[in-house]
Amino acid sequence: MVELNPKYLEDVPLTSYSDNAITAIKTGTWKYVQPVYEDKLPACSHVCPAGNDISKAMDLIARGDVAAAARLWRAGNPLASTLGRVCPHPCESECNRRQFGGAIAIHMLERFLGDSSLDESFLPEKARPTGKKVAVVGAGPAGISAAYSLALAGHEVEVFDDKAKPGGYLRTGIPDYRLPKEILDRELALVGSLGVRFTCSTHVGKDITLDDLKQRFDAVIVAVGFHRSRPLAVPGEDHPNVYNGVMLLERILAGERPELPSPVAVVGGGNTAIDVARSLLRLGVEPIIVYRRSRLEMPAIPGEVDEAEKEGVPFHFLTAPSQVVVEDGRITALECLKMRLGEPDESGRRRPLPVEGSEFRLPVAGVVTAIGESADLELLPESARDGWRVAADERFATPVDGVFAAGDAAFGDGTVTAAVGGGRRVAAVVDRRLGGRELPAAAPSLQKLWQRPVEAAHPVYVEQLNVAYFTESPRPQIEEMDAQARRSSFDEVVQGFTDEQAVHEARRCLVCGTCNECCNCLFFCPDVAIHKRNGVVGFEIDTEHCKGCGICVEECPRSALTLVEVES
Amino acid sequence: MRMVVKGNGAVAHAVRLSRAQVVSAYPITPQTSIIEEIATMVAKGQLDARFIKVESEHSALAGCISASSAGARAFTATSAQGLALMHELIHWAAGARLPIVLANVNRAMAPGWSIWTDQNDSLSQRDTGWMQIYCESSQEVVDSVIQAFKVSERVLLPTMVVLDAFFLSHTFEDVEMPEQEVVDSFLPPLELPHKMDLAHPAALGNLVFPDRYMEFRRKMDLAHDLALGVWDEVGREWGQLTGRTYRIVEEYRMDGAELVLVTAATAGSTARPVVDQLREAGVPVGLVRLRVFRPFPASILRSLLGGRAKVLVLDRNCSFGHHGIFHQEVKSALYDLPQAEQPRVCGVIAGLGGRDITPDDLEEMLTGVWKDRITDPVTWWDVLSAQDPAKAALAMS
Amino acid sequence: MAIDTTSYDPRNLHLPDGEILSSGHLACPGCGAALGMRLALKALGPNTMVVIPACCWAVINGPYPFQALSVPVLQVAFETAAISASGIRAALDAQGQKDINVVAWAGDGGTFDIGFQSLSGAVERNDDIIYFCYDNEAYMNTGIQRSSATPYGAWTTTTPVETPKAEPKKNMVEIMVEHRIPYTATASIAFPEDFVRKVEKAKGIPGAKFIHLWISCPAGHKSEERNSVKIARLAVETGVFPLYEVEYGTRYTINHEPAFTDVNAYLELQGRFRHLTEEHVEAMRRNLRWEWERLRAKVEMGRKLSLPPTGVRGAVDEGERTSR
Repeated sequence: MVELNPKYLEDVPLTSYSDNAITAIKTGTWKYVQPVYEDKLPACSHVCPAGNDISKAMDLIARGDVAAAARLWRAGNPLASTLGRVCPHPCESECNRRQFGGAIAIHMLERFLGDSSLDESFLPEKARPTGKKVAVVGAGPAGISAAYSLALAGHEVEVFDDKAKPGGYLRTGIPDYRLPKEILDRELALVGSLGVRFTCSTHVGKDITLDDLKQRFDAVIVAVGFHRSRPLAVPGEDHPNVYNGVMLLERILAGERPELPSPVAVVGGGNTAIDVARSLLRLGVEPIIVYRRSRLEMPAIPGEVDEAEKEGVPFHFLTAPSQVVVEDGRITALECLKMRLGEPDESGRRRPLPVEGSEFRLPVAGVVTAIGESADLELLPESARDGWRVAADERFATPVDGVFAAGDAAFGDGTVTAAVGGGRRVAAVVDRRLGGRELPAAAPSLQKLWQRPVEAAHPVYVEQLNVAYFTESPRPQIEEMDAQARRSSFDEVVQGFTDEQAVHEARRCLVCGTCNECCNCLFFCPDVAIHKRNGVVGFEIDTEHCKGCGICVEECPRSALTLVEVES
Repeated sequence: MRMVVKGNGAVAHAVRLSRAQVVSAYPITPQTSIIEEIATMVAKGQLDARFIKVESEHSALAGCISASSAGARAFTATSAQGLALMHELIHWAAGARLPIVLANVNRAMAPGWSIWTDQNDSLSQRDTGWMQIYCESSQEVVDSVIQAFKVSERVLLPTMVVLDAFFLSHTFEDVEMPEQEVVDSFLPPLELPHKMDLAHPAALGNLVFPDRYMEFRRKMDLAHDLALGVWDEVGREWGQLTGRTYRIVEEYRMDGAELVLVTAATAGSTARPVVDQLREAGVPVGLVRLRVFRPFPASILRSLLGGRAKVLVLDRNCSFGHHGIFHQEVKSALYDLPQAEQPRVCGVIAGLGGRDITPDDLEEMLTGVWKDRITDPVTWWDVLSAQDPAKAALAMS
Repeated sequence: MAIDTTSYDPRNLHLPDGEILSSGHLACPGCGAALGMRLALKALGPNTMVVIPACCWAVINGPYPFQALSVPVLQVAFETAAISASGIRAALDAQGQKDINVVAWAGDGGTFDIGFQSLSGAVERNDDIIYFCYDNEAYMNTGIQRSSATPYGAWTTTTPVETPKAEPKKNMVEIMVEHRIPYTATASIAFPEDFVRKVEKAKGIPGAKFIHLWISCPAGHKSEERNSVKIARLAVETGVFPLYEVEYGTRYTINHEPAFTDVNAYLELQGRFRHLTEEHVEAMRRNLRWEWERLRAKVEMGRKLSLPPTGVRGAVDEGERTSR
């Protein structure tokens, strides 16, 4: 090796003979910006009400490590299989793959992950017992979710429910063709395996008071959900062939096959209306959906509306009932008014306005009301109520000390998914409280609860991707039961993914915002300053030689790197 | 083995005997027959070399430089314009310390086109770091090319072996061609210490900042100092093997010489009988023929010329605006002598563009200097005189 | 398990692991020439000798006594890249050293202009070398002067905005093709797999190989450092720099069908084109269409022609090292 600091001419080679490694020159000092690996929140997870770490899980499936993906998914979500079936999957509407062949079938992959992990080995490790006890009122999705996270955190959790079995609306309001009950039971069993106790047939507020719970437990979470159908408030509503949608659905799901007249007008545009209509269809009754706004404003999951339509359910949009017409003691028609849409109301949807003189009669033999539900808040003192909701702040705390609230009863989000997310967040708040720490100003975001750090301030949309690396790849066809066959069966309509389908589909995922070791940064670095880390996922940057050009940041297909200013 | 060969043929045979591994060359009159003969030798398997038939002299030397850098014994030959085109790489080869041997057939520079001899082409390359050796005969050409490889590979500097156009390059002479075994015993295979080597990857020629550059140039100069001794040693060693000993400077009838003719190349053979003749006529004249011009044998010249009365330097070249180049160099060497030992030095510029320098010319020059008829520091020989130099310098016709 | 191959998944970006270029070299941030060398050497491997004439790389490789490559490097005079590689090949052959890639790595000035003659000589002799021209379309090392590789309309310090370059870029690839050498290819740092494949292919072919690598130069193109690969990709996707290869001067293959994104997308990322008017750009579009018509016609022609006959071109004679 040529002498770096020669003393005599003898130490100098014949000519410019250079054999010292140039790594000795620290070109990293040139830079004023430098890249850092920083996973970012993908658009899908940004809108996921349950807070699932979608991109990471997709990457794991794509690598063939389904078990790791399932474990990740179950880290904060006890109802993966359930949600994979009933979630309205807003993630797919935001999926950046949309313009390159269609959104990733995330809901199918959630279902796949859930169904692949229906035993205890996929549960996260439980923390050491804390000796603290939490009561959860309501064994619906919010309560189950909160109980799951709290149990994992080492707390002792008891869930109270007035029904004979836990599950809440999942059991009483979602038909089997969407959610087979054995799936729900298996997920509840997983929650139970963590030591969560379900005390059923116990109506808090009647059989036991909130004060009792406050005395026996260190914290109480109220997650009673919405179960009461609101009335139509039209003449003739008291006829026995006018049914309460929630209760009718509950009876059908419990296995009853009531004698019903036909056709039946199902009034409403939410999931209950659709579920009732599709269930009636399967009982041989002809349902007609009557909704006062247009299809666009329907609160029901669009996919479910599509399915109902496929199965042959007729819809009357912009139609509001004005009277149940009873002749000779029998319902002969539902008198309706045509509506038009006015300015948006506080829900953001356009307000329906009646069209003068547009009355007409829809010949029906019965009516089902499904225009919305409200919570049963009898257990709470007046101070903890806010109209038909539980009064809860951004910390999920009620005005009653030690009492928290989550789910529809408090926030009315209206989806199982949001209830699961709320359960995770309230659990985080309660856990903090039980740990003796101050309550935060607001419950932590769902991403804060993830196993990995993620920059959530700037969700990754297509604009942040380097789309040069993505080409079209079509969304797969989802296997479904034939529409005709469904009319006589409560069997599950949608078929799950096979392993091959799942991996194939996960590989379509652009893994937005998350390093999936595609190696673009590694190979495009002109300074050879990025190295694969030994035995660990990801890369490291040799800051002594990185000149801060930013090619790695630009060429990262998925925005998993960020350029930051170098601290001087 | 005795052979009758031209000077160019002598070069080719010496290259063959030296087992050159890469020849990279481009044709130019009067060099062409060198590379023609080498091409034939390679084609016939008499020389196991790769002959790159390049598209220019520039590439000819570039090919030698890279081949030499990769450890091969490399040779090229050129002349005049070709050498000038190589100029950039002439510097490069020396700076890279590569033992390349180049045969330059001395030819005058254009314009106007001249294919005949003078030394301005090779002497223009004086300051490049190359060693230069001027030959007088085909025998000396053979022996010098072989010696040049040996010296070059010892001191890691390139050598230009120079021979006069036509007077030497195209003149048939009787030559004792050494046997291959003799040459092999004299010239071992090249072991270049800084050659490109996969086992020791290094970059040759990387950027050198001012704090490092000068050391390399100092080492080149030291290598030239060293080379003077090596030329002497190698010339003696060759003598032991072949009976033909070579000196850096050849002296002839220097005993008691008061007038010394200093010249180089074929003018030396023209001069010897003239010296004999003048000696017989009682003029105490001697001859010094510069053989190795770079490194410059200054101290040898001082010891040979110190204390003589007069020195006549015959230049077949000119550094315009100043003297003949050998003349300048000799004078600068003698400046170090004590005043009393300094001879009077006159320069004659003659024979440019191949004009003949005859024995009569030499006799006239020497007699003129001896009899103080020629006293100007520089005399242009055998050339039209100017009535009004200032006018002549610019006159169209 | 069946894996989707219809989508290009960068996870599948497969390049050789070995690194011959080390960090610490003196290239500017975002230098395409450094990236190009890195990728080329990944494909070439350690049994390689590299010739570098005057060009940015003469500096990038480091100041004495440091060097950036773990293979032997010979820095040579500006106009001698090709012959220098030929000389090394001859020397290696003479010394019986086989299976060494001898590579010339020259810029566009050293290839299109000053080194053109020596290059033509070397490929005409079909010397067994791989000649890379890394083309940043001007004399960048000396401070952004026009070369014959500078494209129409571009600003350089010798083609100021008042008189931007009026002539189109010299088509070096076609000049090489007409030497009928065994392999000529274009390549881009934005398509590393294609580039590496071409280098690997070139390694396996005796005779002269010419690879024309388009690279970005943030300093000379007046572009953002981070956009170096992006601009290189756009050069290809706009059709400005087609990725193709030609065997024996006859068989043309287009390696990547461009998206033909509007050329503005490429121009607007580079300050050297900022002065262009819509008329200039329209002229470029017309020229692009014309160039592509020519290229496609050559592909067609190549399909109809057979390769040059054996015995005329040394390279076509199987297994012959033609530099001998």
